[in-house]
Amino acid sequence: MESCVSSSSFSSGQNAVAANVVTDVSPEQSVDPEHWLEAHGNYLFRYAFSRVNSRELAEELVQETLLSAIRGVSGFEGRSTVRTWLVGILKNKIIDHLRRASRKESKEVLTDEDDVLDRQFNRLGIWSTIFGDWARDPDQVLEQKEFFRTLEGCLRKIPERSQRAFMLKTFENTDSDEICKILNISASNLWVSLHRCRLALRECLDKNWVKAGGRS
Amino acid sequence: MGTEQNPPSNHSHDTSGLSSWLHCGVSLMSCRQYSELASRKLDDIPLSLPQRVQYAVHKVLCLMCRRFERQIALIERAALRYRSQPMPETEVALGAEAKDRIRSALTRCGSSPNGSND
Repeated sequence: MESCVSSSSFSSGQNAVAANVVTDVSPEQSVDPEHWLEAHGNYLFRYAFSRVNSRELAEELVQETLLSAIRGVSGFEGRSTVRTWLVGILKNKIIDHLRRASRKESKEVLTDEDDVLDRQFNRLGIWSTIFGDWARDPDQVLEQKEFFRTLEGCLRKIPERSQRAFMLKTFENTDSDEICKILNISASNLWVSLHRCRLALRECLDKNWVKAGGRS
Repeated sequence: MGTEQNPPSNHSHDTSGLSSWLHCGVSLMSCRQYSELASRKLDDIPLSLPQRVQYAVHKVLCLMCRRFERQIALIERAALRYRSQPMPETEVALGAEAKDRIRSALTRCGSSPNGSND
């Protein structure tokens, strides 16, 4: 059975790299799909996992990305690096996944069982706990790997559905209107979602960052 | 966002300017409400004038809310580090098994740019 990843898949003639020419190109720059899994698979996986928080789903997304890339390799004009191009495809796959998932799931997605708002504020609307001042020197905090380790742990703790909007906004710099279309939510749903996510992250950092001996 | 009772009103005839102005038919903003506005500010949503006034007043009065605002701003800044890159401190990797699975799927795909070869 012919492998569709063979280098002869390049005879479209668009690419300067002919099938058997030995080049000085590193595996990461190679436009030969055979190298892509080895050179970029892990990076794409980590990128995807950082967004969807599921190994299984991240693997699927990597596979779909590479498949699309192989099929569309003639569209790679070398204007960016191979990796940048692959990540671009991956981002679209992630968005497609979110679009599908958001429509399949019930609309109750935005109300938590354990409502972060009711937990953090008492009946008078005042903070139910006092918290410390760990953001007094933000530049200093942002220099600490431990902080990011804790933040990433917190991001993994929050249910994936609750952080989609936050993820799209901060990690992918997606426009608000676009986020609403992708996730099939209204603008006010969006603000509520972002707000809840921030409250949850802040609370988690409060518990785990300070306790881990984090310096403010 | 949910409703909560207004804070108990101050019935004393306090004529010190700020206090009587605040209670003059204006309900004091709660921390819960403040937190929501602080979030909206991060999203560049403009606040109405009454909101801005209440927000400013509450900010002066409430230590926790000032902290909250600093902390979510820090989180936002931190999250920007992940823009267009994986989370650096999260140690996950594509295992060998997964790579094999993907490799098989790619070689089976049968739809190279030139169509499958005979």
